[in-house]
This record gives sequence, C-alpha cells and structure tokens, in this order.
Amino acid sequence: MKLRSIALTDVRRFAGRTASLSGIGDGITVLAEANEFGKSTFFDALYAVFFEKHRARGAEIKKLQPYGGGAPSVRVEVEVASGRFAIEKRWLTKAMARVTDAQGRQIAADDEAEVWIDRLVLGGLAGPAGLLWVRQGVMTLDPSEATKSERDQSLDARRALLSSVAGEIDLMTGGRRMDAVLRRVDLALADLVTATGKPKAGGPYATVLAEGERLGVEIAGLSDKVSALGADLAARREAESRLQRSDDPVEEAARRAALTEAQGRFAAAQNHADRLARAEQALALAQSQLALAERDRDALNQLDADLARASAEAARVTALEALAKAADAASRAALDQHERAAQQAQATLDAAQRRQDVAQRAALARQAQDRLGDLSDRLIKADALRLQIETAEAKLGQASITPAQVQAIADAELALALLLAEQNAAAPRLSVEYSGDMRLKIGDQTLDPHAELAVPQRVQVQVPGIGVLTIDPGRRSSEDAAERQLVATARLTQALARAGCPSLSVAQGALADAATLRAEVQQLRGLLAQIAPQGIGPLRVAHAEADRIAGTALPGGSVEVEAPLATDLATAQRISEDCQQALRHAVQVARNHGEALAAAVANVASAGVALMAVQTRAGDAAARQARRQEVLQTLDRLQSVVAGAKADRQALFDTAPDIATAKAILARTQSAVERNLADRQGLRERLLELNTRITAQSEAGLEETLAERQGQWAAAQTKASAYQAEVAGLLRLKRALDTARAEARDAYFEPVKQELQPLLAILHPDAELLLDDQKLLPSTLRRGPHDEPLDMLSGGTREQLAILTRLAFARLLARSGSVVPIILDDALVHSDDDRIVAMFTALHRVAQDQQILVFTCRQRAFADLGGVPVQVVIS
Amino acid sequence: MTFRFLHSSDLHLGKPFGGFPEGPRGRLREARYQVIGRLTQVARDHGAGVVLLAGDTFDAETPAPDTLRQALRAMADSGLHWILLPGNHDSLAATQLWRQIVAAGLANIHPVLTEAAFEIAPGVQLLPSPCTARKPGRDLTEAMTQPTPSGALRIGLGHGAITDFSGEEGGAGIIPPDRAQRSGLDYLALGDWHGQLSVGSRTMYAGTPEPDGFKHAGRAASALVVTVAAGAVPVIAPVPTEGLHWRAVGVNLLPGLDAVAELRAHLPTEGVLRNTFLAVAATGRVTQPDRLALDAALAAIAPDYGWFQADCSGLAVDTRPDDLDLIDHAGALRRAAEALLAEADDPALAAQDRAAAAAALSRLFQFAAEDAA
Repeated sequence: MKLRSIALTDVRRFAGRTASLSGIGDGITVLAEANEFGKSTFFDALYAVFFEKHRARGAEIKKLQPYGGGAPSVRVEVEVASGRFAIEKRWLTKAMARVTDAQGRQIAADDEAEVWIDRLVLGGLAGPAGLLWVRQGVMTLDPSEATKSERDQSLDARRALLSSVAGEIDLMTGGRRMDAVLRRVDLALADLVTATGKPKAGGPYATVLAEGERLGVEIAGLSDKVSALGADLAARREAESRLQRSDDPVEEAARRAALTEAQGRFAAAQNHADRLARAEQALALAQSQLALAERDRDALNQLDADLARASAEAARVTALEALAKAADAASRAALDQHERAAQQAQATLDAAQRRQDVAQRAALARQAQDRLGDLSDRLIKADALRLQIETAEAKLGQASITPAQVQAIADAELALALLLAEQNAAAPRLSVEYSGDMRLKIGDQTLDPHAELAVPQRVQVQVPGIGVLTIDPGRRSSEDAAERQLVATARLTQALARAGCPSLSVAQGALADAATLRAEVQQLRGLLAQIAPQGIGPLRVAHAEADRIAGTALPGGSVEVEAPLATDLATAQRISEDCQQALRHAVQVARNHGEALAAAVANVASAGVALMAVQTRAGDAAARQARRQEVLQTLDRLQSVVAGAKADRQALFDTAPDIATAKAILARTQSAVERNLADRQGLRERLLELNTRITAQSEAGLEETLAERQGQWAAAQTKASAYQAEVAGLLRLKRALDTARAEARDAYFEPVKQELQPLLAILHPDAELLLDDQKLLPSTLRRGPHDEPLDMLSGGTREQLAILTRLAFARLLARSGSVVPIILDDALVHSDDDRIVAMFTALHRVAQDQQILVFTCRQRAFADLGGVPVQVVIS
Repeated sequence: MTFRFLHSSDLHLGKPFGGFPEGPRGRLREARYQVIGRLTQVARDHGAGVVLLAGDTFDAETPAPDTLRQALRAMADSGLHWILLPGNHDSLAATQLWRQIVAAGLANIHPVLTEAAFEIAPGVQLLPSPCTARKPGRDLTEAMTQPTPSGALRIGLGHGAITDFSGEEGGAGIIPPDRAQRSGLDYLALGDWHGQLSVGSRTMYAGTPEPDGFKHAGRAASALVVTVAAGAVPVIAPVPTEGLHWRAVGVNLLPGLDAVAELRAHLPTEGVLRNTFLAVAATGRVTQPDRLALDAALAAIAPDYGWFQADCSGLAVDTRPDDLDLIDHAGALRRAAEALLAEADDPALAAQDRAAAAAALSRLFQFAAEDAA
C-alpha cells in the first residue's frame, strides 16, 4: 500500500475547511511546515482512517473535532497492487465509511469498508501503525504512555511479523511450554539451592546437610563417651581381678611369712653390727692413747732442739752488738767536725751580706733626695691652681640663670609684643587732617595735623574750640584685648622673676658671664691635670714617701764599690752551702749507725729473753731425762694394745652379715604387705568411682543413642547425596534449556538483525543491537565491550534507534509481501545535524523500495533530506 | 521323659534404627519390645514353661534404662522362665548389663554368667556357653562336653557362627556343626544368625523373632517350639512371631513390558500393608514413557506401606528419538533434550557428568509430562 493523497474536512483547526495533501511519491515525501500548522492533525487523521472504526466516538475521534464541534471526515487515496482506491470516513455525525476505486465506483461502504481497510493494513491496530508510524514526541519503541492493551497489540504485531519471516517464535523457543518447564526447574532449584548454587537456608538440602553436620558432632561426642564407658568397664574388670588376687589368703600368708623371716634376719644382722661397732670403738680408744704417748715423746725431742737453737742465737746477736757500737762512735766524731766547719762558713757569709745591705740603702736615699725637690715644686703649684678653681666655681654657683630661663623671658616678651602689635593692627585708624595753629590733643598728646594713629581703645580727642571728640572702637573688643595683654604681661613678669633679672638684656648678660666662668674653670682643671695627673692627694703621698726614704741612709754609711762586694758575697755563699751539704751527710751517717746499734741491743735483749724462756720450759735436765724414759715405756705398751684391738675388729668384720641386704629384704616384704593393704583400699575406692560413673553413663543409654545417631547420620548422608545429584541434574537441565532457548532466540531474531544491522552501521559503526525476547524489541546497544540499555541512552540516540528499528520492520514487512508506508511526525527533534544527515542516508536506503512520509517543522534542517516536497492546500 | 521349651534368639531389644524416619523408627523399636509378648503367647499356647534366648537379647552392652527395665518387666510378668544367654552384642564383657539384670532379682529371669551346667527342669540340664566377649576367638561350646547327672536331658545353649556366614572358612571361634553329637546333646539351641536355620536334626538357629532388616525378608520370622525326649529326635515346630513384615521386591523390566503391571504383580498383598516395610529394586531397562509411568506408580503406592523404598539405580532408561517427541517435536525444548541425551550417552564424558545429563533429561521428561497433563 502506498499513500497518494490525504484530505481533511472539519478536522481540528480546519473547521469548515478542507486541507489537502497530494502528490505523495513512492520514496520520501516531505511536508515541511511550521509548528501549529497541523501536521500532526494529518498523522492523527491517517491513524483514525486506518485504525478507528467510523462509528467510533472515543477520545481519539473527539480529538479530531474542531473546537466548535462538527463531524470530522478524512479522505485518503491509496495505491495497492490491484489499483488506486479512495477511502473516506466521517465520524460522529452521519458517520460513514466508503471505499471507491479510481473511477469513483463504490467498492465497499460502512462495515464492509472497515473490513476492506483492515485487510489493507494487515489486521487493524495490531498491524503496521504500531510498528512503523512514529507519532510526534515519541522517542521509544515501546512508549511508556501506551496502555497495556496497546503494548500487547504492538507486541503481537511484532511477533506476527517476525513469525511470518522466521517461523513461529513459540515453535522455535519452546514458547509457553519452555516457560513452564523452566519455571518448574527454577521452582525445584529454588527449593534446594540459592541463585549461586549454594544450599538454600531452610530448604530440604541445606536442612539435611545441617542435620548431617549436627549428627556428626553429636556422634563424635557420643563416641567419646562410649569409648570412655568402655574404658571404664575394662578398668573395672581389671580392678576387680586385681582385688580378687589381693584378697587371696594364700598369697597373703606367703607375704606375711616372708616379712617375718626378713625381720629375723635383719635383727641378727643388727646385733652383729653392734658388736663390730664396739670393737671399733675399743680400737679407736687404744689408737688415741698411743697417739697421745707419741705426742709426748715428740714434745721432749722438740724441747731439746729449741734449747740449742736459743743458745746459739744469743751468742750471735751479742757479737753483732759489739760491731754496731764501734761504728756509732766513729760516725759521731765525724759529725762534730762537719758542724764546726759549717759554723765558720756561715759567719763569713753573714759579714758579706751586712756590707751589701749598707751599700744598697745609701744608694736608695740618694735617689729619693733627688726626686723630693721636683715633687715639692709641683705640689705648691697644684695647691695654687686648686684655689683658683674653687674661687671660679663659687662665682659660677652664684650665677644661677639658665639658657631656658632666658629663652622663656624672650618668648614672653615676644608674645607680648605680638599681642600689642595685633591690637594696634586691629584697632580703628584715626586720621586727622587739619591746618592752622589749633592742635588736637588726646590727653596731653598733641596730634600732628597729618596724624594717623590707631585707636585700640576709647579715646577722647580734644578739639579746641569745639569740644571733645570721643572715639570708642567697641567695648567687647577692647576688654578682650586688655585681658590678653594682662596675661602676656604677667607671664613676662613671672619669667623675669624666675631668672632674677629685671629685663631680658640683663638676663642675657648674666648668661654670658656664666659661660665665661665655666670656660675658665675648664682651663684651670687642665693645668692641674698636667701638674698632678693622678690628683693632688697622690702627689702629696709621693712627696712624703720620697721625703721618708731620703732620711733612711745609715749614719756613717758610705757607698762601696758594688762589684767586689757581690763577688765576696757569692764566694761566701758557695762555701757555706758546701759545708752544709757535708754536714747533712754526716748527720745521716750518724743516725744510721745509731739505729743499727739500737737494733743490735734489742736483738741481744730478745735473744736473752727467748733463751731464758726455753730454759724455763725445759726445766731441770735430769727430770727431763726421767720423763723421756717413762714416755718410751708407755709407747711400747700401747702399741701392743692397738694390735690386739685391730685383730678383734677384723674378726668381727669378716663374719658380719650384709645388713643393707637384710634391710632391703625387710623393706621389700614390708612394702609388699603394706602395698597390698593400700592396693586393696585403692582398688575399692577405684571400683566405687568406676561403678558410680558406669552406672551414670549406662543409665544414659549411650550405645543405643550412638547407634541411632549413626543410622540417622547415614540416612542424612544418603539424602544429601540424592539432593546433590538432584541439584546437579536440575542445574544441567536449566543450562541446557537456557542454551537451547538462546540459540533459538538468536535464530528467531536473525531476520530483523539482518535488516537492522546495515541501518545501524550508518549511525554507529561496529555497534550491535540486542533484542529482548519478551518484547521482541531492541533492549541494549552493544558498542565494543560495553552494553548500554536503551533507556540509559540520550533522547536523540533513542529516537534514532527507534526509527531505524521501524525501518527494519518495514523492510521485513516488505519481504513478507506487505508494503506499508512509514510515517514520521517530527520524529527527529532530538537529533543533532550530523545525526540527522546520517538518518537521511538511512531513510534513503530504505526508501528505495519503501514509501516514507515525513512531517517536520525543521524546514532548514530537512532541506538536505531530499525527497519530494509537498504542500497542504486549504480550501 | 519329655521336655518342651521355646527356643528364640537375637531379639536385639533397643536397636535404634537411626536410618529410618522418625515414624517408622518408633514402630520398629516398639515391635522389638512387643515380640516378648508374642513369644510369651506362643510358649503358653504350646505348653512351654521355659524360654531359651540364645544371645543378643539386647542390641547394646549398655542398653537404655527403659529398654532394659521394660523388657525385664515384660518377661517377669509372663510367668515363664527366661534363660538369657550373653551373645556377642551383650557379652559377659557387658558387666554392667548383667549386673543390672542380676540386681533386679527377678526369680523367673535367669542370666547365664558361667559355663556351668544347671538344671532348668527336673532331669533337664542346660549346658550354656555364654559369650565372654564380642569376639571370644575360641569355640565356647567346647564346655558343653562337661558331664551331667546320668539320665538327664542335655540341652546346649550357644551363640555364634556354625560357619563363617561372611564366606570365609575356618575362622576362629566357629562352632563345629557336629557339636551336638560331640557333646552328647539332645538339642543344641543356637543364636546369632537372624534367619532360621537347621543344622542337623538336633541343632537349630531359631533366628530373630522380629526381623530387623531385609536380609532375611520373604520368610516370616518365628520362634521354635522344641520338644525333647530321651533317646528321640527332638520335635521342632516353628511358630510365626513377627509383627512387622520386611519385604524386598525385585522387578526386572524390559522395553515392551508394562512396567507398572510388572510392579503391581510383584507387590505383596498379604497382611496389613501398613505393617509391611517394602523395598522395591527395579532393574533392567525401560523406555522414557515407562519410566515416567513407573515413577508415578511408585509414588502412588508408597503411602500404603509402613515404610517404602524404591531403588531404580539399576534401571537403565532407553531413550529413543521418538521418546523426545513427548517433550517437544521441535524447537528449543527438543534441542535441549537432544543435547542432554547425547551427553548422557557420551562415553568420552565422566560418569558424573553423564549421570547429571541423564538426571536432567529424566527431569525434563517429567516436567514436560506434567505440563502436558
């Protein structure tokens, strides 16, 4: 079907008029008019002709009515394979539908005409309009403002179209049955696992796993307890067996007999050991006595030796004492000789020193005498200068005026003079000009005939022969000036009083006198500093010192030649030092000999005392001999006693039983008896403990519980394995179904992709549109690695993709034998110029075998679109 | 003289049956206790005053207090004399158990704690061989050779294997099959083997009176009423005692057979199904439609039984291309099914992956069938 003309009568703004659009070509036809011209009215009218029944009175029809009411009617000329036909429809009033052929013959009317139209547009609203016609302002393929019914109808149209070119979608994708199976798979999986394939909490799979885990833990605990119970039972059997053996009377009697025998053997061994100990004590006593006797013998021998040694020592030290005495006497004689020589040398030295002192003091007195005259002269001059300075300073002290005081007087005088001058300057001027002998007077002052004077205050001019002329410059001004004058005068008086001067000139003179005095004092002080640089006091002290030294020359002293005196003194000093050196050596020698002598004397005394002590200890020689005989006899006797004791002890030692072994046997047998007793007690306690524990545990039925849990655990494991296999099977099934459906979907969409891809490449090279298998529309634009959902794209891109998709559907329709025009009503309002040009290219590509009707208000932008321009004719 | 007694063994009182769900587990435990009453009734019905329990009366060495006391109370109240021989489960090593029984001081309950022969009725000597440990490692029945008063009937009571039931020969502790002859016994009452077994004219395994698994399923458990007379072959009469019936059903299927009909043909019909524990093991091969029908039939009959288990791990499913039509004739479902089928039959894949693919295909059949329904 191709549109050839459209005529609207009484439609919206065309009330009472007919708007006609004719000359619509095969390819692109462009109606470019400004906004509000009525382009969308043509779109809506076309929609109504093809998709609204002539008896319809709904909103879509009401919108076609002019504002003033009326019955909208539309006439459309179409061309189909069988020829050219005109379709007319009027709504609301005298509603009608009519189809006529090119010769004007009526082909169908009213309902039959509707059937004819339906057939033409391939099934009413579900036909191409939803697919191909783009209403103004609609950017998307599946507009949100559409109702669900409209969407469903549009979906059906797409499905029908795709099915016509690619087969039944349900047949390919499994359709509802696939949905049902997938739903069952999802439900079965959702019951068992989460979306990530993990056992779902609360589901039977997770529950059986948790149960298995819980049972495992419980089994472990129960196994431990059962093992413990088994161990306790074994321990009890062992303990009971041991207790039975322990209670055996035969074994008990044997243990007792062994103990008795061990006790007897140990007592015999102990008795023998006592006897041996006593023999050892006797031997020790004899040995002790023998040792004492031997010590007595040794003491006697030692005493004889000591006596001989003390005698020899006394003789030796006596000889040494004699030698020491001789040496001491010789050293004392040498000392006396050296002392005398030293005394003589000291006397010679003292005499030389006295002569030296006299000569030195005489020289100093002579020097002091020479300085005394100069000092006396300078002292007299200094005293005179000091007197002059004091006088000048006294005068300077009386002249107390200062430069500031003088300046204050000068300032006060200047201020007063300025004030007076100011008063005079401000005062009225009195000028007189007269002649003759007569003279004007102010008081006693006669005014010159050409006088001019200031009148700062009230004056009376006596005009002879006439009277008195009083001139008053004004009371206030006069009083103020007088007051200021009084103040200035008072300040001057005060300044003069402070300076103690009657006038400024006197003050200035006094100030100059004071300066002169100061200069004079300064000069005098300079002179005094030259005469006495350190002051008069030190000068006076130096004078007194010189005077004292000058008076210290020894009476009768003469000045000797200094050089011989010094030589004599040096010689005397050297001799004296030599003598002193020799004396010190002699003293040391004498001291050493004295100490040696003292030591020798002490040694003699000590040796004598020692000899006397030994002699005292030794006593009488005969008695000592008798004692020696006695000691030797005792020694012989005790040696015999020790030999006997040794023999007795050895005999006992050789026959002694092993007491340690006897003691060990006794301990062992005793321990066996005691341990048996203790064991019995311990075993009874142990059995009591075991019985208590066994009774408690056996009451709990541990083995039954453990076996039950083990059975439950095995059942849980079996179930878990079954669930695992079930999940694996379901996941595999889901994967197989998804894969098969995806492959089917790809095959299903292939035709539309084939049409769409070249168009898309014009705008977006290397891009791909992914289709939603539910809506059968593009859902995602894939550019490189990025997938962008269409509703995230810009408005311009979305409207472009929507038009491209419709163009692709249009080509699919053409392939299925249904050529339907594409109508775009201001469909590219969001696209920029570059994109519009690309879209024009796409439109032209499709327009080669497809009629496209473009309504636009962008006359300039669409100038490059080409195609056939048409205009609306209104009549 | 003649002497009649009841011979039983392996009551395994207190066996927990932890692998079963809570409901069946409770019934199994209760059935083991109830068998004491049934033994009592059988003994009374047949005029036996003594019951010989040839070991494993209790399942554990330290049974729960309620297990022990309720059992002792039931025996004590029966008016019969109960001879309790320690078996391998409740051997003499279970000292606490036997002390508790002795301490209970019940006159008609006689725990056998030694090998010494004793008189259980006038002129009737019992020669017991109590298990000393779980695995004694020797023939305990050797003690049955001990002499007894002249003229007395000699009845042996033992517990253990007369042959190695695991298939190994000559293991330690094996009771000689001719023990009755060797020891001059008039009758040898044995326990340990849970099925009933005759070992000659004078030696019997009574088997458990209440089955505890499918091992001996198919034949009703019973106790033996034994009548012994001097110089005569004992008269042994089995009397059914089981409360719950364990039945294992094997169904071998082939393509072409009606799987559901085959299943129903093998199902037990006797008795109260509620008291039947049924295990169905399907083997062979079936088509996918038959497998779906079989699964549905198994699911349908399961609630009829006290416990039900179906094991189809040995059942292979033949999936033919035509079978895939049940899923879809074409389209994605069909392609998914074809992919899974190829994967399930691909020998290059790991067994685990093949199993997952087979399971997935089976589920796909199921879901598609449910949707078709």
